[in-house]
Amino acid sequence: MNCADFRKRLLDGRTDADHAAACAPCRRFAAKLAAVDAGLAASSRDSAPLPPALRAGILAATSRESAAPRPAAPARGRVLDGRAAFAFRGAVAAAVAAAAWLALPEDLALALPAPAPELRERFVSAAPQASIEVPWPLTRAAVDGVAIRGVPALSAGPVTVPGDLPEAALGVCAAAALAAAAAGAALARRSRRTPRTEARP
Amino acid sequence: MDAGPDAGSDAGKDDDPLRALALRAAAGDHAAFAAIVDRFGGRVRAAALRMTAGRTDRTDDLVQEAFVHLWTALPRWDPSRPFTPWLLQVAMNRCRNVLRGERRRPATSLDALAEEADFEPRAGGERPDAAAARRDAASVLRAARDRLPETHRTILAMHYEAGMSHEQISAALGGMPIGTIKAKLHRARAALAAELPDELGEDLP
Repeated sequence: MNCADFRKRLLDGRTDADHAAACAPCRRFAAKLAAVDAGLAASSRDSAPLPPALRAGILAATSRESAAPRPAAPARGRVLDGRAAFAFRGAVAAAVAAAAWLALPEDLALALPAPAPELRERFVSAAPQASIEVPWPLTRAAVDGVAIRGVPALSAGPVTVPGDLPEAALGVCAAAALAAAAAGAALARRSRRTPRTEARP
Repeated sequence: MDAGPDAGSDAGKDDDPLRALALRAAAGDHAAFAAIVDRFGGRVRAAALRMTAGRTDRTDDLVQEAFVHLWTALPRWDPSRPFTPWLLQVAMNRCRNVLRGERRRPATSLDALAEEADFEPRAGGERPDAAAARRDAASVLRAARDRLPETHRTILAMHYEAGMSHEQISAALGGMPIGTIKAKLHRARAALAAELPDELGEDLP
């Protein structure tokens, strides 16, 4: 066993006493690692009280905050941010995009190279919110870059979901959205092979 | 090495007075919040100090920012969950986000390091004498920590200074896998050990 192996095993918590006893570099490394652990543990006991000026600054700043109305906590629900909000928005966007595409007659969806006013009207009427706007083309089921305004869950920033919505529900939602998007893409590919805008003999 | 040195003490548990304080603070009681600042301020500042690589001026801004954010976030605390891990998670996450937002790498000069560590850098194989090494072992370790990459510094600070468990760090880092956190802790310790001069190995507390 070479030293690299020894170090790896040491870091895994499985030391090789025989090798350590015979190998001076490894013995030194083990001692230093133990010293590091002791030093880190000691540093954790070093926390001193806050400097008075800093404490006063914190309390003054929060006192000003408390004079103003504090942000109301949501009565129900929890706030998703970061990756969770991104995933949730992406899942909802995918679901809306796929559903909107599937709701269109295929001839309309495939024949038009650009969004037409009547097509946009159809989107709007089919969507639950009147202000939904989905850029063209959806025939590729391209959910990336889908911009939807007016839907709180899709706007920028944190997303509030019902507090009793379990994490698994988010996963199911994302999986369903991905499945819907995949189905839309498959339909689009199949439809491109057999354009339906041309009259068949 | 498993949990942090304080992870088993009170990082995951609340006593009744603390819980009562937290409930009052969440309801807007500023005096209760001041008591929370007194109780956790030192720990948060110690962790922030290591996250900023020892820049005390920046650390105090960061700690103030974290506690102001905590004050505004208190109404969102779910009383059915332990308060201490929630507080540490919110505060550390705020520190980390502020630091990341600044996108500044710590610019520490060798002179400053030598001054802080109070030792002469080795040159041409020259070593500090054993007495100086013994005296300055903790300083050398601290300087070595400050030279670690930011991610490693952050995780070390969360684990040791803030006393957060692997699970709490994972939650604070947006769900980073616990195995990754353990691996980063191992790598950080090994990097510190590699930086220590041989003669300091036996002198740290």
